[in-house]
Amino acid sequence: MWKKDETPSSPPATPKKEESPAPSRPAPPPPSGEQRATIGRSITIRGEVRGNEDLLIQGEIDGSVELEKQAVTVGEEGKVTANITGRVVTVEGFVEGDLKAEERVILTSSAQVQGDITAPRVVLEDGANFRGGIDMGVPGKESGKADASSSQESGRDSGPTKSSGTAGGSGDGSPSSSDTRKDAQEKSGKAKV
Amino acid sequence: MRWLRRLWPEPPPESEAEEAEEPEDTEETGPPAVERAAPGIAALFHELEPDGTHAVLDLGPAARTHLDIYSRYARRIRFADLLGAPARGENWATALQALPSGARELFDVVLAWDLLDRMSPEEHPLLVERLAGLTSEGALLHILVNASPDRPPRPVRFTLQSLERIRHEPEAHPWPTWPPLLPAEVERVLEPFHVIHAFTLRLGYRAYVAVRREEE
Repeated sequence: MWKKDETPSSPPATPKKEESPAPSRPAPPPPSGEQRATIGRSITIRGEVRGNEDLLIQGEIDGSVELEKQAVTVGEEGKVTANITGRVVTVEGFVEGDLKAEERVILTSSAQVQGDITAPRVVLEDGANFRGGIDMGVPGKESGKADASSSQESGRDSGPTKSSGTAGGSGDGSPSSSDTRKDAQEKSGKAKV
Repeated sequence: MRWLRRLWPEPPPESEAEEAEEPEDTEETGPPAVERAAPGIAALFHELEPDGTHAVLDLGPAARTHLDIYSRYARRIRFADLLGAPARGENWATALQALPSGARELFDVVLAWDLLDRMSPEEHPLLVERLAGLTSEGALLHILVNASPDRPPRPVRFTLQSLERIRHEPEAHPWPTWPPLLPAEVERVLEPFHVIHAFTLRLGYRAYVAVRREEE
């Protein structure tokens, strides 16, 4: 029997966890190609992964992943020993390697990451296990103002505030967001000391 | 008198009430996690311009709130999780060596938490020397030391809640057996970092903010 939402253009075997805002229904595919490929649990790849589709990794990759304009997600069962480059890189599983994203890197609560992150915005959820460096000064990029966009984020607190510098501060800000940003201001002086 | 009972519900049986107030292992683990003032952290960040140009090295584990706070000041942040080295089976010397080289990355803010308390006196110079190699002139160091006889029976994991509040959570393992570092010794141990602020906190902790200055 014909079903309303079954159309020839719908992507085959769309994974359950749809994270990217990319349309997964009959809309015409955007030029960059918004379908998401999946590397399944039983797949192991040694080498270089490149392409023009978003990618969900549930298997193992040992090498490199370069999808500069795409969203790359390392699923909860994914195990990647590689540097990953993407537009948005989301990690729910294990990564040993550097993460580089044009827009943002998101480490969810189940993420285990050892490596360096380069992205203008980084989201670190509670429970994420991360060891490494974060560089938010991506050369050539405009500074991004804070915008709470992850579902885990409910907005930032009051932003840069100068404390009194004395004991017993009572201001109890409630940080709620880890969506970080870089400021474009370049000042030569570091500490005022 | 039923209405009164509704307002003042009957207390639980004595045994239950005791259990509720005193967890079984309170004596071993110390008090449960609590949130306290963090004057050392406030003083540290008060010294910085919130212009996003700084580089922060946190020797503790990564935490969402830490990233949120540091990112207001820093463009580069490193979570080294040196505190987790023993749990990973690494000794301090190995863990210190695994830090990036100063030639590659220099920091102007370092949060060392209570690392000195966890290391042997022989390892203190290793830590400070390594930090000196990773920092620039004028860099700021925040460190906590507890030499008080009242210190909690187990080390504490510190998690920033804001610039002025910090969460203290007892860890599972006991303190190492090293003699505690007395306040008078701290300044000597921290050379070439010079203490510019010191705060006495509850449970015997002292928070120090020091600046790296070469001898004149």
